[in-house]
Amino acid sequence: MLVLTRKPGESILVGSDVRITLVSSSGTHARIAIEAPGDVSIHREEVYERIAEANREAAMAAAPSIEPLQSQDDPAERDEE
Amino acid sequence: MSDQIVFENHRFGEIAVNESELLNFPGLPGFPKALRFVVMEHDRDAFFAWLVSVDDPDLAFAIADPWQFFPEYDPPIELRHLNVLGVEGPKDLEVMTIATFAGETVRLNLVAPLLINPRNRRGMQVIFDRTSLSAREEIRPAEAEDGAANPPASVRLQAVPAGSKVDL
Repeated sequence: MLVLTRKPGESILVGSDVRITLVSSSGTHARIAIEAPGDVSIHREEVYERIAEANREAAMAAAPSIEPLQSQDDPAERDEE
Repeated sequence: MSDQIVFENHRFGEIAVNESELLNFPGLPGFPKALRFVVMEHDRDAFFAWLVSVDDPDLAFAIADPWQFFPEYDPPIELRHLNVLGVEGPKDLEVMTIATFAGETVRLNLVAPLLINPRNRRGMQVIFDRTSLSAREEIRPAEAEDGAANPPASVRLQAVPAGSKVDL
């Protein structure tokens, strides 16, 4: 991991098209500006993690409990066989 | 024919589809290596369809058109999302949401819908951070139960075609 020190107004370039600028900092908070191409998604990590967790949960739960919601064969039909 | 691909999914067994039916995603949060999917519908009128991973045999998501359940849903889709997907008109965008089944309840992830361009088969899951939308919006039990076999006419009538809410 690379650790750099920046003053407000100074930037870091990641590759050739992502620029991260420290806007301001005070005490425990830093304001950061990020310029990146539109296809680069940028998220607060905890938000991204929350969605990742929701996705994992959805994938896990997808298996058995959806059955009642599927369009089912008529049970009566099956009894007749 | 030659462009048919066959893959295995533990839920559905062996699946054969034309390559042209594949949807390409740049991965999904939590599943960065799941790049190719197919949509499987059990019934055109069903409330839920399956988004089945071609790359991970254990992975499938139940998905739903959010407007079936939440007619007021208004995801703040941005121009850059449309650009990334190559959307050129309203027909190039479908919006689906991932459903989670938990006991008696069904939840839709309205914060992070799937945007799909059916023309070029590209999709992405976007995250609408800083909105009041919920990642776990519950479908009211009555709706879900009725929706099982026999969707109530009122709900169906409220359904808004995916993409129609987006100003291009």
